[in-house]
Amino acid sequence: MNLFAFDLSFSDISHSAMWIVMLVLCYGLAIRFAKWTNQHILAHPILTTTTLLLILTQLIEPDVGQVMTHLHPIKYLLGPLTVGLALPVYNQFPVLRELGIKVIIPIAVGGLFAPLSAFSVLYLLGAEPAWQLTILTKSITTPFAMDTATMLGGIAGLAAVFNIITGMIGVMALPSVNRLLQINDDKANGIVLGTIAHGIGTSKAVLLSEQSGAFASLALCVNGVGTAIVLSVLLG
Amino acid sequence: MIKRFLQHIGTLIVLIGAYELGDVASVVIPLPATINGLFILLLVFAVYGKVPAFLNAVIPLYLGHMSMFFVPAIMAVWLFQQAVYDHWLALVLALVLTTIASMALVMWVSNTLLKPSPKTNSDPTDQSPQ
Repeated sequence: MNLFAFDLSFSDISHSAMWIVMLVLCYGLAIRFAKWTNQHILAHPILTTTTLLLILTQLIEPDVGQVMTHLHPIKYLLGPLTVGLALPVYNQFPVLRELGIKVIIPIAVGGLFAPLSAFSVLYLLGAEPAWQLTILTKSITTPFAMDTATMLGGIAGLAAVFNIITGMIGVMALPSVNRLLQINDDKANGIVLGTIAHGIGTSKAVLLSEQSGAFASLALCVNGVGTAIVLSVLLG
Repeated sequence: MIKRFLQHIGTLIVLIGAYELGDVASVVIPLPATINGLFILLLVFAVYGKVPAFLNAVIPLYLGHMSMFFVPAIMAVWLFQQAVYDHWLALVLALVLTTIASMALVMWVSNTLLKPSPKTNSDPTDQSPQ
């Protein structure tokens, strides 16, 4: 993806600038709204920002595809920012070295079961192949999911949506899963949230306890990088 | 103020540089540009022996606000409204049931392999990526 992939006219630049300002304003409002609701999962800034921006799109320029083109510089920057995940991955190395296989096995089990089970459901119910490939990335951190989905022949936007829904379900279902299995342990909760509910789950895990947060970050990094590599090598 | 500004410029140069190198590398290594870029940056950290201070100061801030950068791509769901409506049952099953089943499985395996630990106090200061 190239930052300068489209023809730059004055009109393009001014439209891009206008939509980027609107996006930032909507995001600012979304952050305040999330704080106001005490970080309720349904008030997640991604949901609020997207909803506000779609409403503005319908009022100003009903062609959503055109608005997405105007926001191309923001979409481009997601790539370099994703590379910044190297920092948390690097910081998790000591924990990974200490716990080794004991922590890798549950992450690998989730990393395999979550995408394959979702894929099987869509396959058996006859969804389009592009959707089946897209849902394989539902449990890895959103930027990797979008990139990997594109590489597999899936749809990046849909990957982001599947991802965010999965993250929210993960956070909402955790207390029920705790009750069902009668397990409520910080390490297990962290690994579950990071492996299955990626970044959204990790944000929840740090609210549960410091230890849950650390295990969730580790699981997010290992599953994100591991699944992206496995899927790209096998299907890319 | 100027130092902070330079930290941001430096971080952006490093991140964009690593990403673009990762993009070039993806011609040879069949992985997404972001993953290749991430490995290039990890290699730099490993060679340098630690994370350079300016990156440590700025990257967590960027990761904490990464959600905003997903929005342009997520807007595409508007273009798939009809398809989402057509497949709603399959999607509910694939997203809800399999997520809960995966959580139960991972929780059981984690609990079996790692001994339960006592509860610790919460510290909600992390800036996690989305």
